[in-house]
Amino acid sequence: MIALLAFSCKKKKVSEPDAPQTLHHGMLVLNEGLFQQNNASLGWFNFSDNSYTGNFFEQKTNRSLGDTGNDMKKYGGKIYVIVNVSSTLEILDASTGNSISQISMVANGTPKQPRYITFYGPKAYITCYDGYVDVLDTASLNITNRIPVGANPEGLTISNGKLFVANSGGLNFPNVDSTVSVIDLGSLQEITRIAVGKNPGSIQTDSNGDVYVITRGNYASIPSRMHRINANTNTLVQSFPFDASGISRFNTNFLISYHDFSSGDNKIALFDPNTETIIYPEYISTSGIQTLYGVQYSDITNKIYCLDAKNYTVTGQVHVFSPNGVFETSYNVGLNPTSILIYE
Amino acid sequence: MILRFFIPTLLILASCPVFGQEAKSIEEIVISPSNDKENSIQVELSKDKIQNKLANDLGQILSLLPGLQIKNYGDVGGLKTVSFRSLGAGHTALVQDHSSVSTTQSGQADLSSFPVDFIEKLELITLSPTRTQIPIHAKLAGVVVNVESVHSYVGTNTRNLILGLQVGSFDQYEGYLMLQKISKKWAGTLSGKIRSYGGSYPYTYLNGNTRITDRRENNSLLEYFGTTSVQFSPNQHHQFQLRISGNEYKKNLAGAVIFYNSNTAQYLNGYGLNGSFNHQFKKNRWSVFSSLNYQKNNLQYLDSTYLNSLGYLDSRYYSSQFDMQSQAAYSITEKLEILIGSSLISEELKGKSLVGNPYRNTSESIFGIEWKAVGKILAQVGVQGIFEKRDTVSQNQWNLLPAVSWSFDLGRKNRIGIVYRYTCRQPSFNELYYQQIGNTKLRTEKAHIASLRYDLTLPFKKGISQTMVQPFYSYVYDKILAIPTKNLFIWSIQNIGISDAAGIEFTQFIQKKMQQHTLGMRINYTFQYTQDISDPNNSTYRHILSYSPLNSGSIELDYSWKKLSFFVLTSYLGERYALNQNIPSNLLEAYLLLDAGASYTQKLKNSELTIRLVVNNITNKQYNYINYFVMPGTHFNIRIQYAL
Repeated sequence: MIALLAFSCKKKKVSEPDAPQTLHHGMLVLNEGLFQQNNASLGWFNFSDNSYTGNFFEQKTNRSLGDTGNDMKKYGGKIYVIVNVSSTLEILDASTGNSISQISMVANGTPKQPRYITFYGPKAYITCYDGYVDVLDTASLNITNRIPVGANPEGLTISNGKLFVANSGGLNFPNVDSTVSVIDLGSLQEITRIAVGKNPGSIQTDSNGDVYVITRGNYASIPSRMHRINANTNTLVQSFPFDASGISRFNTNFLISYHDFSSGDNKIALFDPNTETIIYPEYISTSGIQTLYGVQYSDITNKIYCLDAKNYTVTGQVHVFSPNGVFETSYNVGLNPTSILIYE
Repeated sequence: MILRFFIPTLLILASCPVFGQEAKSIEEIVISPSNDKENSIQVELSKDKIQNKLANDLGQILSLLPGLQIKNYGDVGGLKTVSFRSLGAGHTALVQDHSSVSTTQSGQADLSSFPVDFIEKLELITLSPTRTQIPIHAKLAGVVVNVESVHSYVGTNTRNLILGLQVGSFDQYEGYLMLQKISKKWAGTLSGKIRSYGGSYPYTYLNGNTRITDRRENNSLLEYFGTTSVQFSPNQHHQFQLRISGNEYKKNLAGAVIFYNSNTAQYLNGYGLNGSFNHQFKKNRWSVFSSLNYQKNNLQYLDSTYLNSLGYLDSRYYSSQFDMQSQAAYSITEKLEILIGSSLISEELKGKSLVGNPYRNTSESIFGIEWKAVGKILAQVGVQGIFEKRDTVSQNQWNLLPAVSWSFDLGRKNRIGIVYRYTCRQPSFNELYYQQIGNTKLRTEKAHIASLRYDLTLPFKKGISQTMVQPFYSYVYDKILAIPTKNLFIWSIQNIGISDAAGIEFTQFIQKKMQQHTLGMRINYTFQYTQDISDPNNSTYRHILSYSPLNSGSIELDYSWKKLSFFVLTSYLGERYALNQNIPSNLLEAYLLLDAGASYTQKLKNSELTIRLVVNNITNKQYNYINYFVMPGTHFNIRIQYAL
């Protein structure tokens, strides 16, 4: 037994490159991790030497990010990281990655389970799975308002002085929600709900102010589709007949991503919101992508980044494509990469 | 890498002492190579030996056996499942007093629901073709954990009354009672237990580079158990038994520690009711065993922080199983015995979270043979017919399940045996029908299992040494695994996995008596290498499966003198991975636990009084088997028992 211990108890050292003091010429990667594993992570990919620091957040804070990192955005001089199951909002200095504050998202003893964040003026708006949008003052870092919306809100976007919130109702499955809440950003009141289809999720605004939302159906007979909302009249004006699971802005166009969970197929189409048509149904070849988990375009590098979750239980990859959709390289990152921030 | 794993094994094997020659009978036999009826590891721990551990449940005792891995999700009342040689819990059958324990809903038994206070005998059986009292369904599984209690036919209990009280750390309180009356033709037994547990224990864990100290919350338990049985023996050939048992529980589910969020409020409530009627006939060359069993389990899962429109989740499940079987064994000659048997099992599960009201009928027949020629040959072939309705379509499925072993003596002290079996497990009703997660297209999970076994028995002056070494190999395909198929939050069950496991189990038992002193030592060690071989293009190809430690084992020393006895137990669980990808961030630390206990028995005319004290985790090791399911540090239990 002693021999056994001697051979088996040796602690393996996890060596990671040092996190940089200031962030430049690289990429912050938010990795979602897996439920109940406390292994959400924030990593730093250094473009200079192609090294990856998987424990960037730990090095900066001496603690872990938590469970299920869901969204990450940069606004002003800060980075906002939404950690869903831990129910926290981590706020970091955008130039160094050092922690500014950790906000516990708990209401009356119940975790609010934040999902996504967007910004308008001095305020940040955060969807919470308990049926609210929280309003955060980005200067004082206090939650100033809670706006009731539909069940289990997911994505949110701003247009025409209004906030559009996709109410998924996912935790009531199969009786999911099918509406988008419209909130007046002056009064911080919900002014209407627009019926769009079952299980709304991803939502985006185009350069003309139109709002596009994806309804994910029931993962069986009701397919995943994209719809267009007129942000002036708050009405659904168009539903598109193609499969879609994510929308990301690509200059004035959209990249429409789709992962078929049954077949494993991935597609990335180029969509023109001015003509409301698909320009290229398969703009990017996805042959090297196992599970398309997100698409982001960076105007800093003028490249398209495709996040690959692999089989969800192994370290993922970020695949880099030119703006013309030509594959360039792949980076190994963390478990289930869900969002990136590019630094010059 | 291979060398690293084999060196500890070789060191342990090489450390075995050279034994003397004198034969002497010993009261306690740990390994049973000479058992005529099966190829088994028989742990015939006496009631005292088991009770000396003051184990919370069966899982804690089984974790001391070679080849078994107990997945432990918590302390008292925390879910514990058993898997044999990494086959998965669904391949292990749990038999209690001749009845298979129902696993209708989840496909695996929760060992935390089995107290050990009234256990008389515990066996791990790999093949037992001609033993009539092991249910056919269990015989066709990968391995059988056979538990016999004071309610069993073969019970060795001689007490009329046992009454015990126990107090332990973190507000643990237990009380139990057994009453037994035996006459020439009749025997009646009543047993019951109540236990409650506060479960608020301190723990520490590492969050990044920061060590956090906290206290377990929402971890309490209240549980009742009761069994009554009546046996009637009209003559020496016939025995009838009626047994009724039930249990009820209210558990708080603390779950995994989630960083920055300690606001869980989940509960599990339920009750079970079992009824069994058996008949046993033995005459001349015949042995016949027939049984009727009915089991019903109600379960309620509550989550009061669930963020649906109701503001809570209340899921209720009602499962039932009815089975009947009969097995007849006949000794054609002294060297040849055969067995035939058939069984019918009907299972049903109801619940709002399920798609439809699933049911399954299973018909199983078995032919077994034991032939003592050129050693001993045991063989069985089972025919399994499954009849069920999936997606409103009725379907049938037939499986042929062979198993064979051949063992022979090499002189009087050595025995060698080889075992092969093909087995399969049906998908559980959860895997088939649980909302979006279930997949009604699932096939059975199949496994080939082979092992070689060497036993060495060396009696010496007033003592005995028994050694077992058992290399094994198993190959599992159409493995049933959960993967995301709709989005990351909605996983589904698929037949996608292939794995194999190679390893070795080692058991050493030594006991020596010196006048009134008895010294014993028991060593169990398992090495296994269980790898994913599903897809060569996958990054986890040939990686070790999650929660499959390479090394595990225990050493127990016990000493008794007159009315006093002591034990010291060290148990070790090696490094393992929380996920299938073998990278440092998924690696969980090995741990070594140290327990010790003492007991004192005072004889009082026809009765006796026993006091037991056990201190667990003496070194206050902060550990967990499943990632972030934190376990308690040092804690104690004290028990007083009166037996008449």
